[in-house]
Amino acid sequence: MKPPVSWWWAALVGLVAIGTLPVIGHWVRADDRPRCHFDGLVIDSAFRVRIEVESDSGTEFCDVSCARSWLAGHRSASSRILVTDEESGDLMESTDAFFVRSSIITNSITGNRWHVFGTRDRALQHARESRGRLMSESDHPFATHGNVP
Amino acid sequence: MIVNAYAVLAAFVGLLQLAFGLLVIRFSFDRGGIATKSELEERPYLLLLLSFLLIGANLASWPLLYSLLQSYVPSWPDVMCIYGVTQIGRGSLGSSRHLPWLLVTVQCTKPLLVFLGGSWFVLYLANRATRTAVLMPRLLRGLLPLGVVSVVDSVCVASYLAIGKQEHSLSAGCCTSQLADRSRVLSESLLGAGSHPWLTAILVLLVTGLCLGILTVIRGRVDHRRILPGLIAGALIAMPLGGLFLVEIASPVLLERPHYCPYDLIGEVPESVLGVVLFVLGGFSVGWAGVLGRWGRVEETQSVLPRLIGSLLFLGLFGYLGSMIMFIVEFSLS
Repeated sequence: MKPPVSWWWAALVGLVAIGTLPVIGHWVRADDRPRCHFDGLVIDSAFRVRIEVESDSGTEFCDVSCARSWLAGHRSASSRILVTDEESGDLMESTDAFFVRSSIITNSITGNRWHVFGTRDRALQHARESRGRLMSESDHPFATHGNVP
Repeated sequence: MIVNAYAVLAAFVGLLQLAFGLLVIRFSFDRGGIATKSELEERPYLLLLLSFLLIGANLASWPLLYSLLQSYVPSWPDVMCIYGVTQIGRGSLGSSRHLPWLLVTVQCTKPLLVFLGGSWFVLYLANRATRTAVLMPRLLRGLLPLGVVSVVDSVCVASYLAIGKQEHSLSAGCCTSQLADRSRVLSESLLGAGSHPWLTAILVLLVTGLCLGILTVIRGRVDHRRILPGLIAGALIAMPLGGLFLVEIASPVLLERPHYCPYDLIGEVPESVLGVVLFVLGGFSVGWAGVLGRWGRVEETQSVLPRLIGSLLFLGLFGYLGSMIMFIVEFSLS
């Protein structure tokens, strides 16, 4: 019944090799680029959304639709939502931002059609040019989370 | 029908499974029709050779299935991983409505075939160690379930390949991206939100117990007949728990996002597939040892059985330990 000693040595070598595989895998995949907390895509800084839940350091998403989907599963979270103005690239409170849903898709994988602007004029201009609509009040993307102006 | 290299290969292997499976079933039933002495001597060996081919085809078809599904991912703009492919046809009214259950069936029959093939093979090894081939009748009887499941599996794969898929779109799926107002749905956690440390604790305790039990047997401290039923029961409980752990704990941690989709691990953390394979090997090896202990025990095998069972349990120990080591290292790096 007892396996020979050579088997134990072979198994030990095999286990060590198995143990090194994850290390090699992580080393090969090493990528410091920030990724969306919802679907793992690399975040384009022009469409970044950041959600800060109470004392949490913040969770980042690749666009508004990913942030909405994540929030749908975390309804109890009282949160501060920061969105990125497409024009300037600056983060701003979602309550101060203007949201447009237009025909322009920002990400072919997620299919996001939400666009964020810091000024009403620029948002209306984008809506006109891209067959979109300014979304406010009940249409505000974060209306159900109390993050409306 | 989507034709690519993997589909052609899967169809070919499925055809081999079907042909060998039907032959094995026919010869299993036709043992009474042997007329001459030479037939009596040769037919079992022809059957054994066919069985080896069938086991090889069955084994090859398992990874081939996932390669095929992975190759289908780019066929739909909304599908991002194998999970999305498994959702094709869900809610459809056409023939594609059969696609999801066909895939569920083949995902169950593939591991079953590997287990049945392995069980048959360990009985074959025990039979080889006898002088009078006393286990041959059991070996021949054991081919029947293997042949039947192979035929069922190949028919399901052939149906899956043949049914049209292009004209039907997804209704929803965790890895789809119909984002208009997010019909894409995050794959749901089976146990609900939370870290579920109890699941990890139970699985680690169970696998540690299994490893210690196996170690006790292979070091010869306890007769395997006393402890093998307990090991089999433990392995049976560990299988679904391991699957649950893979979905609930391992997938989100290794993918580094709240995504409960083990299929994504194939593309994003490929080495973790080896961890899963080792875990399955651990469970199957204990099962094969149980099969050998139950159906391989005759007068002539008394001397070789402890060695064979010990070897299988050693393989099981290696599988469980390898799987644990791999996931511990993966978790510590994530």
